Amino acid sequence: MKRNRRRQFFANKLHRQTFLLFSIAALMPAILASIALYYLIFGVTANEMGFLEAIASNLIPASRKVALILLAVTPIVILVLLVFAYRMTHTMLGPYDRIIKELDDRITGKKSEDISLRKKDKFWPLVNKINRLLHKIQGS
Amino acid sequence: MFNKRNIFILVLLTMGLFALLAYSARLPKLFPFNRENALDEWEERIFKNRVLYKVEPRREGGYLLAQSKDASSGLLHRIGFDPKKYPMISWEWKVLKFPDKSKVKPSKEGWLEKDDYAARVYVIFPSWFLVNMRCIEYVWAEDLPEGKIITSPYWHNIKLIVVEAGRDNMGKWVFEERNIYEDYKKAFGRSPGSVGAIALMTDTDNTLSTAEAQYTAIRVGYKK
Repeated sequence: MKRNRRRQFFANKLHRQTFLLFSIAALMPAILASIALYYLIFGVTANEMGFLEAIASNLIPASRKVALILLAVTPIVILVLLVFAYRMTHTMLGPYDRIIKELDDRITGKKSEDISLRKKDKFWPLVNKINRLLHKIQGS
Repeated sequence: MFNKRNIFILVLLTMGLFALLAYSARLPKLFPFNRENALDEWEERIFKNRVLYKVEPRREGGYLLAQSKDASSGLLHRIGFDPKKYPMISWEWKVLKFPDKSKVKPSKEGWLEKDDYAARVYVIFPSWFLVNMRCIEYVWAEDLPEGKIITSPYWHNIKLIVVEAGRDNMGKWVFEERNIYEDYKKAFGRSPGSVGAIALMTDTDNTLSTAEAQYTAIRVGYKK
């Protein structure tokens, strides 16, 4: 059965792994920093205030507002981070499979023209050097 | 023997030991208010105007005087202990004047306007998570029956226990002794965590009146 590569979310296994690594590296510090800030701001202030009436009158309403804002903003931030991570990793690792396939085609003689990538893809310097090497091999 | 792993474990154990020593205050802790500087170990927290807290030091029978005029401020002493191991607290108090609640009109909001007491003793249970902080307050109430447990109009995590009621003992020293662990279970329906502080307050900020009380011989963290 023919696989429709356009429907694949990740270009390859390396892309999936790197995307996960990027996402965790971006999200984990953000989550930890949020928890630490929440504790520092509200926990330490509450501890300093001591009396629960004062905490209930002043700090609890403030913490609820902050929690609501965080609940509204966090999904958007996470989504932006994930899209950013996906696009970054895709331009970095999407060409990987393509370069290997193009090299296979050159080795088997199916193709002889230069290997090309999308404009935004990384690894152009590598591909240029491979093309120069291929020219040198063809010329010798 | 002195490899990195063993040194790391030793450092951790030492830190744990210091933390344990810092946490376990010398119990029981007694506050006789018999020295001029007896309030040095208490922190003042002012919420609305300042209640006059003044130590009247005497070799025998020293006390803390609290006079409130339209004010709400309290004294806090941080002390950490396990109420399951050391459940008792006791103190003596005397009320000289109750807040005047007669002029307060009942409102739809509840009874926040009447939340003033001539004398309160707090036991505070801190928590890493803000909404899990709890406290029980032992109050001398003029208008509530003895033994009644009520929820504070400020927050459901604050339970008030009426340990002395009415004017019968007004002007007399009254001794109170409570089991924090049992009171907490009665008030919240579960076992308490560690105690983080005790506090005192005489307040009249809601009734905009005056009140006067005296406290002495506070003893906390012991078994009976």
